[in-house]
This record gives sequence, structure tokens and C-alpha cells, in this order.
Amino acid sequence: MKKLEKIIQKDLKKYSDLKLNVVGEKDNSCIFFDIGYGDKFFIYYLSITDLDKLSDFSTYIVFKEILDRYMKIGYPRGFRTRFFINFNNDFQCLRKNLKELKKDDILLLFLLNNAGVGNEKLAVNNINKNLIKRLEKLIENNGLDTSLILDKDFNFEFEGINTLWLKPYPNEFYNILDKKFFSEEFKNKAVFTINLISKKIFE
Amino acid sequence: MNNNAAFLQILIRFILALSIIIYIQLYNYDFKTPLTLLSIAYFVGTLVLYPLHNHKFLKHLIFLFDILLISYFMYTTGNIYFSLFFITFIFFVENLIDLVLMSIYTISIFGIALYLSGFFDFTYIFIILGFWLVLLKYFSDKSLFEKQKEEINSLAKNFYIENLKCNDKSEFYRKFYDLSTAVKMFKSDKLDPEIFIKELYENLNCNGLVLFNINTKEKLKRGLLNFNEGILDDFNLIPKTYVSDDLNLKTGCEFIIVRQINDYFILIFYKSAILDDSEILDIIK
Repeated sequence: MKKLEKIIQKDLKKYSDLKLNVVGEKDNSCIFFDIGYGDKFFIYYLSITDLDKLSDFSTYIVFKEILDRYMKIGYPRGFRTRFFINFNNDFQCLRKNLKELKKDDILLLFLLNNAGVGNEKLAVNNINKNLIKRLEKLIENNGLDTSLILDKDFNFEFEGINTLWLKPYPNEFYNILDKKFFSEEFKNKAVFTINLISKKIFE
Repeated sequence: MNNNAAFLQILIRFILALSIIIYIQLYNYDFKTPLTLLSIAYFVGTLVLYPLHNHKFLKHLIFLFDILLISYFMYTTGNIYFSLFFITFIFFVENLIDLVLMSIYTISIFGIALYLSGFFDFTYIFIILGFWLVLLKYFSDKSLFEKQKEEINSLAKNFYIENLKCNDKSEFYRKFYDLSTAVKMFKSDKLDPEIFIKELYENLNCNGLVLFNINTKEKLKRGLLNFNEGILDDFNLIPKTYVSDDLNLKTGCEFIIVRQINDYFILIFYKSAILDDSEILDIIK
């Protein structure tokens, strides 16, 4: 667990402007950092436990690509983007962090997990009506290769927070495969989709 | 370098030191004790240098230590076959830098050995040639094996991608087929209303469903709908799509699609938008 954290911290040191915050205790720690200025927050969340697994590996690669674009080309203006990295699968760290913010200040919580494994759809359940309309328009106008699905067994327990996550549907293999099955094609699609949504959804 | 390789190297050095000691003891050399002590010191030294095995550059220098000791013993004992021990270290080669350094090392140690024999020990020359051929075969097989492994991996990856593409389409047709058979069977009264509504709820992306019997006023409900089914009695339902109607206000759903099959009204509730269902919805009528 600690080794993984070191690898990720080393990767993030490439960008000297980032100010990493490490929270949590010994075996339950997470990293987060902010990009941009503003009162409102757009939060990316990803949890990584094993970089040899396909889903974690591709999530991490997609995350790095998005971060790279933000730093080199430009980040969305008007709000702060917070990247939140967790090293296990429970949401305790995030929940604690969200409590410190005002509920109205959180524009969208985007769970990046499973990005880039192929056929991932944008899953929604407790999301604002306006946001859904905007998402549908975005998908239609830009010809994105994804669609919205309703996840009926929603159990992230973030009440009153707009949450968007990715569901590889109907792909059941991503759980058992390792990182050799990672494909550039899917990664590029995922990066394009996520980047576009993050930049255009609050315009 | 992983732990296993480092341990194997230590083992080889232990066997080397042991064989030197045995050789010296059997043949009764003049400086028996100091030479024995030197080989023991060599083995202890390799144990002391163990942490260097994980270092990026210093791990190459350990072999220099071996070369010095082996050439010294070849010189004192006159037995040049000790240099054959060094060949085993070639199997730990991992990349090109390793290979280049290792070849320089081996060439130098074989050169010393041949020089000590006066270039006249032909058995030794043939043994070395044999070893080199085996090594060449080993490395060529290894690269071939790795190439094949990569080919198989890329093939599997392509199949995975292909499979995902087909999966997406087949999932849609599965939904289509399931729903159309369910509707057909329900029309001819072969399907229980409860099973029918379950089938609908599983295959549609809706927030909720109500099955409303016109004659008995009996209602079946599915999904997260926070209103009492009783209020549906007040409305004159007709098969159409309800948008910004009284019904929408009362139930809190933005889109309500009403369809009729035999004596049943099927009400499909969407809270915010019709997600990805519009093609499938046409079957239910």
C-alpha cells in the first residue's frame, strides 16, 4: 500500500506547482490537490489499490492524461478542480473531506474509476435535472461515444451531492483482466469524453 | 534485480569458495591456511556487499570482485578451470548494459586463463566454445519466447476489444428480444402481470413503473416512486406521453409514458430524462 503511494507521489512531483495534501492515518491515507481558483468545487475521485489490475491501471493512466492536459493546455475556469486519490475502496476519507465543504459549493463529484476499460457509460441517479439535460446535449452535439444510464442500485451515500460515475456496461471482464489488456483506443475516448464534460458542463 | 537472483548469486559464490578450499586442502599447497582464509574472507565479503545487489550501477562492480579473486587463485594454484564458475553469472543478464559489461568481464577472465595456460590447453578452449554456443541458444530462445508471448497477448487484447464492441450491440438486442417476447406473451395472457413488470423494470432505464388494471383498479408498483398509487384513480389516463401535466406535478416525474395492453395501463416514469430507452419503448403497445 505504501509503495503505491510513493509511486504516485513521485509521478505527481513532475508538476512543481501542485501542492499535495495528504490526509488520514497510517493505513487509510489519501492525497488531494486543487487546480484553479474559485469558491465552487468540481471533484474528481479515484481509488487505486493495485496497479496491475486493468481497471485501476487504466483509471490511473486516464487521470494522468487529464492532469497533463490541465497543466499544459489549460484547466476549466470559474471553479476549482480537486483531484482526490484514495488507496482503498471505502469512501471514508472523501466523506470526511466533503463535510468540510459546503454542500452548495460542490458542483459535481465525478468518480473516475473504471475509466478506459471499454464501453463505459455515464451512470447517474441522484443528479440535478439541469445537469442531465446538459449532459444529453453534450453527448448529442459532440457525437460522444457514450450514453447515460440510470444505475438503480446506487449506494455511494453522498446525499444531496451531484454524482456522476462510469459503469463499464455490459463489460464483465474488466474485473479479472490485468494491465496487458489496456488499450490506447479506449483511453483516448475516455480522456476526450471526460475532458469535454469537465470543460463544457458548467459553461 | 529481484531477491531470488541475488540469493542465487550468493549461492554460486559459496560453491566457488568451497570448491577452492577443497582444492587447496586436497593438493597440499604451501600457503594452505592463508589461502583458505582468503576464500572464506571472499565469501564473507560477498555477504557484506549484499545490499549492493539492489543498486542500479554498483551491482556491476561486484563481478569485478569475483574476477580479481578467481584470477588470483588461477595464478596461485595453476588451475584455470575455476574461471568456468564465472559463466554462470551470465544467466542473470537482464538488459543490454548488463550484457555488454558481462561480455567484457568474461572475455577478460578467459583471456587471463588462456594466458596462464600458455594458449596450449585445448580442452579448455573447447569447453568455453561449447558454453558460448549454449548461451547463444539460450538467449535466442528467450527472445523468441518473449516475442511469441507478446504476439499472443496482443491477439488476446484484440479479441477483448472486438468482444466489447459485439457485447454492446448484443446487449441492446437482448433487451429488445426480451421485451418483445414479454409483451407478446403478456398480450396473449400467458404471462403473469408481476413477472411482466419485473421484466420491464430490469430492461428499461426508468425510475419506476406502475401496472394499472382498468377493470379491477388493481395497481402493481416497482421502483423508487414516492407517491401513493391511489391518486392515479383521479386521472383519465389515455395512452400518450405526459409532459408538464397535472399528473407530472402530483407524481414528481417529468416524463410519464402511458401505454395500453389489453386491460392494463402501463405507466413508465422518468424523473429527469428518457435515458437511452427511446428505441426500445416503441415495442410496448
